[in-house]
Amino acid sequence: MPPEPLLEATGIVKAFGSFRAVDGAGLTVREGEIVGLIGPNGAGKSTFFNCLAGDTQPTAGLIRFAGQEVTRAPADAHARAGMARSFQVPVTFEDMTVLENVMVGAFLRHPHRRDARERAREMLEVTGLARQAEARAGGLGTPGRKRLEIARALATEPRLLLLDEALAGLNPTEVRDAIGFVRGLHARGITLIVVEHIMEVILSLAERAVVFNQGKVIAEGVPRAVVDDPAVVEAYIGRSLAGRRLRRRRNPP
Amino acid sequence: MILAQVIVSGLLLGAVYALFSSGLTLIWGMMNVVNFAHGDFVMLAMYVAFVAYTLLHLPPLVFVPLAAALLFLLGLFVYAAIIRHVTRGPMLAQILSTFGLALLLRYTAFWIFSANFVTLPDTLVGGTVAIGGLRLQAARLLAGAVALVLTVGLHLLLTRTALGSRLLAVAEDRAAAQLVGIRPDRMQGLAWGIGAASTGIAGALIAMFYYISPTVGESLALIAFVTVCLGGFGSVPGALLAGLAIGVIEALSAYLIGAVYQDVVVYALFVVLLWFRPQGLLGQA
Repeated sequence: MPPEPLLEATGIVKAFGSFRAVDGAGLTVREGEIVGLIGPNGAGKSTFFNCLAGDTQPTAGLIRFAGQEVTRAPADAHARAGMARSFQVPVTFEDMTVLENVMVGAFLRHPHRRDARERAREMLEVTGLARQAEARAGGLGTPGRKRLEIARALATEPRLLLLDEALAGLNPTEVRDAIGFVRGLHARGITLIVVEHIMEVILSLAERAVVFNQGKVIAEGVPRAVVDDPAVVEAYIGRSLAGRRLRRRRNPP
Repeated sequence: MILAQVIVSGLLLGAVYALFSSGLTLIWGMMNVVNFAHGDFVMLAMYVAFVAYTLLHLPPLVFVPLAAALLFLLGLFVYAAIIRHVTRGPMLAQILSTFGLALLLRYTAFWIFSANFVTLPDTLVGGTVAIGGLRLQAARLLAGAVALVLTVGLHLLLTRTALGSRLLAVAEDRAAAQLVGIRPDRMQGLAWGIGAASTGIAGALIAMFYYISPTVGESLALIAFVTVCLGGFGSVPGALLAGLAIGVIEALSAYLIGAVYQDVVVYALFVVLLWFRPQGLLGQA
């Protein structure tokens, strides 16, 4: 019998009034995977992602993580169970220093201040923020605060890390660095779910892509195969920006 | 020499002001709720000391921790039963809920203890202590010293421990705190517990030498509000500094101008300071 998956979400529905942003979507993630969630704007992937992280309670469905049911558990219970996330617009403690931000995360597993500080410094090294340790978090730019958010998430020692458009707004060089960074996280044994608009990122990073459209999962599999799936192509075409990006990818120069 | 005596006794009472005011500032800092019942919490603690001494003959060494524990529980209860619910409502609901609680506590005290002023015997912690030519009432010296140590202790708890980091994290951003596994409700409840326990200790300490009546909380609440404004909302070191300053100003004006005018001087200086520094001494603009 294969081991129980790390995360298992089945039949997730999230309705806002009569509109079903997520309409019966499911996802299974095994320990050690990198899974990419893609889909056109408004496909429901972000809402689904928020349900997984405990920031939104699904209207229906079941979510199990690391052997526990977490369907309606608040975000803090997810963190204690070993799930961490980042946001598109980073959420940090702006009045604290960079180090203090990460220490607050480290306290989850290290109640002693000295251990927590050591752990936090390690995470600042990993994320390249060591030199800004004493700076006020609110003074960092958005890329810096995104790194800080990930450093704080890592300090909670998660088994699963959910990255929500962590690479949005970066230039091509930064994207390449960031891909290397995410690979590094994976090499540390962290399972990853990545929501990303940039198809390149999913193609080069994810082992498996899950495609959302109109609140449902319409395709799932190896990224390169998934982008050729007729249903996926159709979902993207007509959504000009995403469509162009997809077509360009399918006809390499 | 008399002047030094006046200043030191002002500092001792000021330390007690600082202790219960830091509880008020902690609650405010955690969740932007003003506890209008704070002075009445101090009043309750004074009656805990009074009952513990007159009925059960317990010494201060017992009734001070007892008052701290009972008020801690009261703080937790008030948070769980009232505050947690009203913070989801409009601002006015928050103000009226703690104001209503203040009235409830005050008139319950009238009902049980009547309007009479009572005091604990001044032989409780008897005598005076001579330090470098100053003669200080032992009870006041004890109260001031304990209050000073505990206020500094609260500051260290907030700035030097994991618990303090969690409290400050919730104070700054509830949602972000949840992301690192902190339960915000627990931390806010704990802040109410600690805030109320500070009134428990302070009330039991001043009960040793202060008059006790159901309305004593009114004037103490005013002192706490002024202390918190003066020190800067949410700042424990600010509350300490401001509490000591108010204690000294009160004592000096009572000595130099007359006891009747001590409040006038305190509030006049307070208004002048707010004119120039509305965020308080150590508050952030």
